[in-house]
Amino acid sequence: MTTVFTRALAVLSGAAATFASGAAMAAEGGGHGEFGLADGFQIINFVVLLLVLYFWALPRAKDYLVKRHDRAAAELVEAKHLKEEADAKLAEYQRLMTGLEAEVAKIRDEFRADGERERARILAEAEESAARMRTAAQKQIQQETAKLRQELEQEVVAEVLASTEAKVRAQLNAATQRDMANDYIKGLEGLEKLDQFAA
Amino acid sequence: MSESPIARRYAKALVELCTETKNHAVIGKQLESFTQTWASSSDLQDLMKNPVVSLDAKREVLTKIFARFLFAPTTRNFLLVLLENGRITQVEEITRAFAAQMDELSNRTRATVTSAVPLERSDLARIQTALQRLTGKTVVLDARVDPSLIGGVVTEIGNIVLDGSVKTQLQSLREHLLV
Repeated sequence: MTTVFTRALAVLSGAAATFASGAAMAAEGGGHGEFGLADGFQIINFVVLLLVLYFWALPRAKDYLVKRHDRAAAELVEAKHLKEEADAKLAEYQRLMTGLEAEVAKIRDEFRADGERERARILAEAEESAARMRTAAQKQIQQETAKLRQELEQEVVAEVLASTEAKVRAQLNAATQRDMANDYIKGLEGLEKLDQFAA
Repeated sequence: MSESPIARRYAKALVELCTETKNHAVIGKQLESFTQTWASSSDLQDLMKNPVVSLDAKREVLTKIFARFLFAPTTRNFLLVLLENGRITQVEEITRAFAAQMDELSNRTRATVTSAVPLERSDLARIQTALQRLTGKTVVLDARVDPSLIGGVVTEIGNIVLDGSVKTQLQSLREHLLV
């Protein structure tokens, strides 16, 4: 209330000063003519305008400016905060970048070591596989050789036996059959026990 | 060839019957005749094995065979018992078991003499004498001819084989060469 009263007093004093100055100017004959009623209304209008500006527009403008100030201040604080965060992230990224190089080098070394180990393992497996194949091939060769030898032996034996049998058959006649039977019976007659018999 | 316990049991029962009647030789020969008929006739075997054919029908067929061969009552009854007990299909085995048991009772044994060419009667007699001396039993010889022996003689007596054939000698030579 006091503030409103003070403001009204200030406006009225301003208007009075303006009126006074106008009247003075009129009295000095500095104007264009006599200070009339129309001038008075102009002054009143002006005073009313001042009052309106002071009581209605000024608080709003002031309020608007205060708010804008507050907003700008808040935005500044926010911007400062964001800048700090950005700085922190930048520092973090820089730190990570520094560590990243070391990490990349470490991974590269591990890859290289893994590759070497894998290479050694593949080589060992290949050598082992080759040795196995060599052994299997040797074994198969031995088996095939033995089989061929056996087949050859059987063929030779079969030939020999066929030849022998042919010769025996050619030499066998009634007399030789009789001699063989006689030898057999003599052998039987000479036995002491059955299980002593030998062909 | 070893006979089954069932065949030996039936043979033993028949031996006991024959001991009472003392006609084991006749019964043995009649059983042999029936066994030969059985072995040579697959129709007879099929008929006796057929479960659809009634027992009476089978008995009728056997009775006709008995009449044809003039079998003794003991033989007829024994074969009918085999039929009724479902053992007629084992008649060959039972006949062998009977012969073996009769041989045992008579202190007799059987030997098979196989030669590449037929042996003379005197040779068979010498073999029989030698075998009787070695076994201490009467030996009944069954002489056979098998040209695949090439030459020589083979005698089988019990589980013992006295092999003097050229065929076996060649086989021994083959095994010796292949070792």
